[in-house]
Amino acid sequence: MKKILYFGYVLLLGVIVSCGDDFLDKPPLGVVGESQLATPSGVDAVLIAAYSVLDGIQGITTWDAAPSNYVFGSIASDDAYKGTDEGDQAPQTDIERYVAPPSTGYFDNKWRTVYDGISRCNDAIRIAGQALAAGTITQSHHDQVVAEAKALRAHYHFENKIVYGNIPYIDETVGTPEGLPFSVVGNVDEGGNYTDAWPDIVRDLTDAIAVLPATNPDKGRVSGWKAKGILAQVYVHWIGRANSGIDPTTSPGVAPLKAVLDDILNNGPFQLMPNYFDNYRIAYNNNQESLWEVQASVNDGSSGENGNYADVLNFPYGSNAPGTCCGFHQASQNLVNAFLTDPATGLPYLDDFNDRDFRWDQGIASYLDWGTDPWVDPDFVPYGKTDPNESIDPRLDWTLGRRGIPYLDWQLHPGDAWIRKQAYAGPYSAKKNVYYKSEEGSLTSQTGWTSGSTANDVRLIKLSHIMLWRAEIAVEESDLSTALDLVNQIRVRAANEVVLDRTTAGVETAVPACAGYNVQPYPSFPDQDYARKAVRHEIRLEFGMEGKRFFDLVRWGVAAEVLNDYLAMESSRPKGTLSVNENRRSYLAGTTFTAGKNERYPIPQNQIDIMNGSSEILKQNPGF
Amino acid sequence: MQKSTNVLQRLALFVLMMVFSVGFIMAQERTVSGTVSSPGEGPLPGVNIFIQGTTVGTISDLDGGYKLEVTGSDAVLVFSSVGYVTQTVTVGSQSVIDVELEADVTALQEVVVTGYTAQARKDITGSVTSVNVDELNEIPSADFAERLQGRAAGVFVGLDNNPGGQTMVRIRGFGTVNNNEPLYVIDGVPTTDVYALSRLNPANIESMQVLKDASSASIYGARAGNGVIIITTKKGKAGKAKFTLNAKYGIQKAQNQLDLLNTQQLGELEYQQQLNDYANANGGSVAGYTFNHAQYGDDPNASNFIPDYILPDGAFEGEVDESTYSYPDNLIMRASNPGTNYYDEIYETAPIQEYNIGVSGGSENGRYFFGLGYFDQQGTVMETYFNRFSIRANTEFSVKEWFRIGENLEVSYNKGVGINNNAEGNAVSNVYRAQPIIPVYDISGVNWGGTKGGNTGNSSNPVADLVRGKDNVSENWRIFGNAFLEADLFKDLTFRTQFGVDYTNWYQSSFSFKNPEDAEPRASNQLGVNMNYVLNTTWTNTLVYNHTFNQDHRLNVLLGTEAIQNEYRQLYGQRINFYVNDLDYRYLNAGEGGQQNSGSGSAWSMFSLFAKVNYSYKDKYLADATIRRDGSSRFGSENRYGTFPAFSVGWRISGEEFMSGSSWINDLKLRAGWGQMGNQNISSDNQYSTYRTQVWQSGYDIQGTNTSTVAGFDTGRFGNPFGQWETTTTLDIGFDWTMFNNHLTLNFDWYDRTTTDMLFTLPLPGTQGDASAPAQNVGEMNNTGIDLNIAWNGASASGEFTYNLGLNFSQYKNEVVSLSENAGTTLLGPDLRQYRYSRSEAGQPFMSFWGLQRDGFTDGSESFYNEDGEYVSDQYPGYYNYISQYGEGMGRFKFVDQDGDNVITDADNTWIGNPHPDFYYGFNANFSWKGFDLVIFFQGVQGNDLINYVGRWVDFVQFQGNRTQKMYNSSWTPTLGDNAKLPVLSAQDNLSYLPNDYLVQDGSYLRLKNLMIGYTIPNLKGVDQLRIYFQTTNVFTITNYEGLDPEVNIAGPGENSSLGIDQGIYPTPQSYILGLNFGF
Repeated sequence: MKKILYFGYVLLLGVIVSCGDDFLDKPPLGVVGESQLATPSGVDAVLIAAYSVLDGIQGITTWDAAPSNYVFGSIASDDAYKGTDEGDQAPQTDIERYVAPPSTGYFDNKWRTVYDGISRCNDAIRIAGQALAAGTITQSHHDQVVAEAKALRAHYHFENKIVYGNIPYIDETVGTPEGLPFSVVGNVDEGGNYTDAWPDIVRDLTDAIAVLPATNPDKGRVSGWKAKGILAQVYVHWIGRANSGIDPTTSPGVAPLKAVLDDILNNGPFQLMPNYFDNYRIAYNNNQESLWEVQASVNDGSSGENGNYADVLNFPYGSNAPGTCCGFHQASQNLVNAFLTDPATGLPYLDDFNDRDFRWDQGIASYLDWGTDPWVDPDFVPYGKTDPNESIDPRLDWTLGRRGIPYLDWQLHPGDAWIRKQAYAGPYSAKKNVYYKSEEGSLTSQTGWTSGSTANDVRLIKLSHIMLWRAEIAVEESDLSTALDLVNQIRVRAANEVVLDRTTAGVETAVPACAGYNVQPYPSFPDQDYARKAVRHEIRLEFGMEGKRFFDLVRWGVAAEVLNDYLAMESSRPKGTLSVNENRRSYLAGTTFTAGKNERYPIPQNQIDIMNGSSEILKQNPGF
Repeated sequence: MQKSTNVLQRLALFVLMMVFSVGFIMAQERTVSGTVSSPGEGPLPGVNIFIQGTTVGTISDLDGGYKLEVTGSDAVLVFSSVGYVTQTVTVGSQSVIDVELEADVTALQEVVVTGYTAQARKDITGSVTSVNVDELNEIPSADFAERLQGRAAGVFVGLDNNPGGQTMVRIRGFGTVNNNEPLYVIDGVPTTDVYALSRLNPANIESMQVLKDASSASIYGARAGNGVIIITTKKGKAGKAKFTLNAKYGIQKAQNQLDLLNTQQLGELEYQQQLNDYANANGGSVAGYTFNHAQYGDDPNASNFIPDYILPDGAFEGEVDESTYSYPDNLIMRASNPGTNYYDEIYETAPIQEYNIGVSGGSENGRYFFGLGYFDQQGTVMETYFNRFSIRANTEFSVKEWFRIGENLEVSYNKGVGINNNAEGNAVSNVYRAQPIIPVYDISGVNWGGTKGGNTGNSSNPVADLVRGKDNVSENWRIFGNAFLEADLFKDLTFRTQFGVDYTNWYQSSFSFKNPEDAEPRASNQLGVNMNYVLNTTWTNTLVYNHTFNQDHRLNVLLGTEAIQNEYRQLYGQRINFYVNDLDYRYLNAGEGGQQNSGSGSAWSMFSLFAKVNYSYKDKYLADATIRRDGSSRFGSENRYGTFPAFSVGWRISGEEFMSGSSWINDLKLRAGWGQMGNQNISSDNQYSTYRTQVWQSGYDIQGTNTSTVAGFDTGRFGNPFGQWETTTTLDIGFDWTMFNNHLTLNFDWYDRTTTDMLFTLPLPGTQGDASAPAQNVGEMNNTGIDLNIAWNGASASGEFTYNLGLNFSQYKNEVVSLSENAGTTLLGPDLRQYRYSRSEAGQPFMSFWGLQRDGFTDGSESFYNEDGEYVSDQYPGYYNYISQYGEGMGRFKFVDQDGDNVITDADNTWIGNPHPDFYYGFNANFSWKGFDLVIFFQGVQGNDLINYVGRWVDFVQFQGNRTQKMYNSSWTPTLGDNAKLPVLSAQDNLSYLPNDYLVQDGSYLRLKNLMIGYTIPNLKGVDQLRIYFQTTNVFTITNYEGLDPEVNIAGPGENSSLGIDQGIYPTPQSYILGLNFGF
């Protein structure tokens, strides 16, 4: 009988265990559900996450979605080469050569990263709505959150719009993942025609501008003025791409653009910084000239991912060089030549700058002892260094690093020793994203494999953009004096600060690094055509290596013409026309930019595949 | 290694003393004689006859006669012969003992542990493979799964040669896109932790069964879908205490090297590449060409082609003042000429040793096994190692005749340093990535050489990596075991309750040095400390009823419940800038900045009810039925429970009247089984939608402070509350056949294994954001195949010579039937430097290779056209207009235009390889003659393709690393023409290594895995066994694979997608081992 008692007891235990359904409830740990976020602080935090993708870094990618657009906007243009050596990030070379297939990871990663930003904006709008309905936040709090989220959503859509052209517009009503399978929204309407996201983007911005306060004490937060800057940029590209027939859309006309530009210029709080390079220094993050800027922070508990991490590859290559990795994004000889000025007038050669000779150090080994005195290089005299007839725009030496010129406060650029493979990608280094040596450790991350993540913000829109866009309108309206005035303001400022020489002790002197620095305002614009060339050239010089060039060429409708000339000259410059630097980049041989196709990058094949491979949902761009 | 040598010496001394001491034990003797015969066969020669508990014995002669000296009347004689039932006879007062041996079915009588119960092999109707544990122990390795390789049909084992690394075990192919690891059940306690394999001592294993089909495994229900491996550890038996000592000591060598270039050759290759590219851009002209390189001179034939220094770049004697050297600011490195062979620098001849002591014994009231083990394997790649200390205590007490209580417990501590296997950044990969011109040390002789000099690539110095990493030890404590209570409630009815625990505590401290000698140096030194623990508890209750009705009807019924809980916690901390690098300074508090920490946790649970009925009629007609109902926390409340049934039948034809007397059938059983099992190896959070906060993913410096962020929340995961179990349905038909007087055994199974409702994580459209998508029940995968086992045992007429031959052969065909309702759904393989080489789609084997197909080399005549039929010189890959000095458009890989549109695009990719083998096999032969034994064990895989991803680095221009002799000698030239193996040399050729069939290579191999010769010293009084042996493992490998080693494991547990992709692996070591088995 005892045994039966034991048996009974055990049966009882078994029953107890089987009854406890709680036993099978194991909620996820260390995370929250959506309903828990419908509070004032929760809604704010979801909005912060929408800002967090501005730097192009989240779960998916590292540099593919760089806000600087250095791959899609700069390497693919005549500003820069991929740089580094052949094998590193080879798909960038494919992009540079316009042969990258739609399956290239860069296309997919940029797409996904930017849409992740959009989905976070939509989360913020949706959760703010839930909180408002639940009465946990005020109407004004809700409206402010929604306005910021819409402005950000417009920014993100714009990012993909200029890269891919025909993109889906995704708002908070789309694709809530509660019901499986996931809903899909594509880029074509029921008739199979591409949809037009431009009006939606503009509507988001005008909605936001109506609510947002003009300024906001949080420097990184979108305000009314910043939203207007974003709106202006949207119009600039919408109008340009409409006029050039790139996007299937109707131009909104120049009036709304002109209005917002004038509003910013006349009523906005922005002013040019005294010096050109102030716009690229960590010390002047969020300065008076900046309208829209991606915040970068380091030593904040991350491993540098919140810094300007997307640009970590774009440093000189050498173990005593800043950032130390990886030598990407090297300036093209074409861009360097664009900075040549007429020694007599201080004006650029608008038509034939690329037929001129600029002495470079390709093939010349670095000075053996430069390590012992980094401010002396007896082996190479840089162009313009001593001869005032070798006349250059001083912005050259703020835009790129070249041998013999002080590289910020680091040392003289040593040439080959900081170049990963000169034979492949030439002798120049990126500079605008680079930090000062004195900032190393305090304003750069020292965690992880690279020291190239810095607190250097990416300035997406500056007052100088607003001015030159306005000048473009003035040219087209034959208002040449307004155009002249705006361009000359930029040129006068460009002369204010030049790269100064350094003593052997490394102390900055009052002497410019080059005797040939020479930039002067235009005395006049003789005609509309000249003015157009001058404004466009000024835009190139002012924003060189900033990832804008490709998209500017596209909106001007000149991409095929300019880029095919560039490719031909880069790959096989006629021998004997100049004493140096012919046959610059043999890997560009045979490369062509196809008009009507290469103005847009392909819709990522992976995204098409995910959407059932069907052109009825997500349709590939023409030509791919 | 001084220490281990001493250990060995002491052991040898100890053993010798034992041998001598027993030699003196003598006693009174008398002679027993007789004949041995078999009913129907007459006298039996060659029968082993020995006195139980000793090694004293003899062998029957041709007439079956024998004569033996026996001591004392209670001596017991043991008569044994292969193929006959062993008989024991107590001598008593007899002096003539005639014995008749019954023909046996030894293997059939063997009782094997299956799900929750034990069964006689003859009664088993499922597909169960028992693995010979003695054979497993022949292989020197840390974990039993590695030893399992080639031993069991249907079990594929992929090795990670890292000491203590994880092993991939796949039973009958790949059943799912999710985790394919089998379930391990050790003394009734389940675990899926693959590190179980190396963190528990395999020497304590007494038996191992592999349950391969549903009828045998589905009693484990939801977790059995990938097969179940049942392990029983050693138990004590009533009797006197027995002591065993097994010791081995040996050395291992790495053998394989890629055939890389020396300094001069690599310079010449660079020169030729640039020359070709120059010619290409200049219409074929090379006039005016100058070589542009930071190190090499202008002319490969000149004496100054190779510099004397690589730092400063390309400097010569007299140009460098070595006295200005200072670390780390002014490093000076000499050029290595003829070049550094980094394989020679990192490979080491390394010792391996293993010692196990076991004591077992007991009485009717209590039995025990106690085991102590020490295992130490130094890696053949320097500074890697694994060692393990383990202690096991298994005890069982019979308190009453009907009441037993006991425990099985192992505590092990292990630690080691390995490399990140199968990865381009590990030390083995840095060997081929390092240029030969780089010296191991700079001119100081103590600081490292590296890539700081121009154009020397971006590898790190593999020697430096290994030496710097030698103290980055992983330490692990594991407690694994159970306690149980068993009561015979009534006659034939037994209740058992068992509480099992599996606890792992892991700690790793990882220090990164600054590396100023490299082109891409770290900004700081850094310490990261990682700790986690896993606690898994299992409570099992079973009732077993066992009864035979009317002699003919045997019934065995099992009822049970099981509750499993798992809990995981992890903690990580990191700091940078440590004042000194000393080992005793590597504590987080000493770091001056960069403070970071993180942590995480997860939990899951299961509750199950199960039942099993085995029925047998006259031992001829067998039937089994199993059912299990599982509930899992991984699924939402609506689909939380799953039911998994299985049925099987068996017919022992040999038991039928009409088969009696057949000489060629000793036993023949036909089996058929059908059943379902589950798989739930998905994230434990799959049903939940969650938001997360993480500084870099969701934080933003909204205030523009430069050094701080405001926290945010973003979607971390989309949940699928409707998910439910994957179901694996298997049909298994087979037979077990023993014939020719039990000399030949055949086991054959054909199976069909289909996983439906396969949990597949459908990729989300990018427009949904980047949160993790949940697994959904959308896919289907099928494996069909056969398992075949053939064994022959034989003996010479005299019986002095015996042998066993065993062959196991496995074949499966894998197919992804569907991934979703959408036929185009694709599961992509890993992104390796921007390209993906494998993918899964419906209708193809899992993770097949995908890319372009080659069709020889271009000869300049090719024209390619765009979609509109217009000639274009450079459609993708921008390629056919390539000009070298040899002429236009020649010498490039020509790819097959699959879609016939005259343009090579993504649409021309096709299936180019299958990582699944046609078949794999093991062949084992044991010979024994007098006291000598010889073991030969082959193992092989046939017909699998590998992606030689390493080839992308050494046959093409992925970074500026070293290259192969093949690239140097066999790249296209007009002379070689179509005999070339690689395209014309071009530094700018990053297109030839787009995924294409060049990198697909046959991974077949045949390996002599073990060659062992032993000698048992006979007739030592008081000694049960004394055997010494010598063995060589991995003696040779026959393969055509061009990479380092054809044995390419997956990159990590549960990570299927890297299947068959060689990203730089730890090479298979060859070892020479001396060992000792001793027992008394």
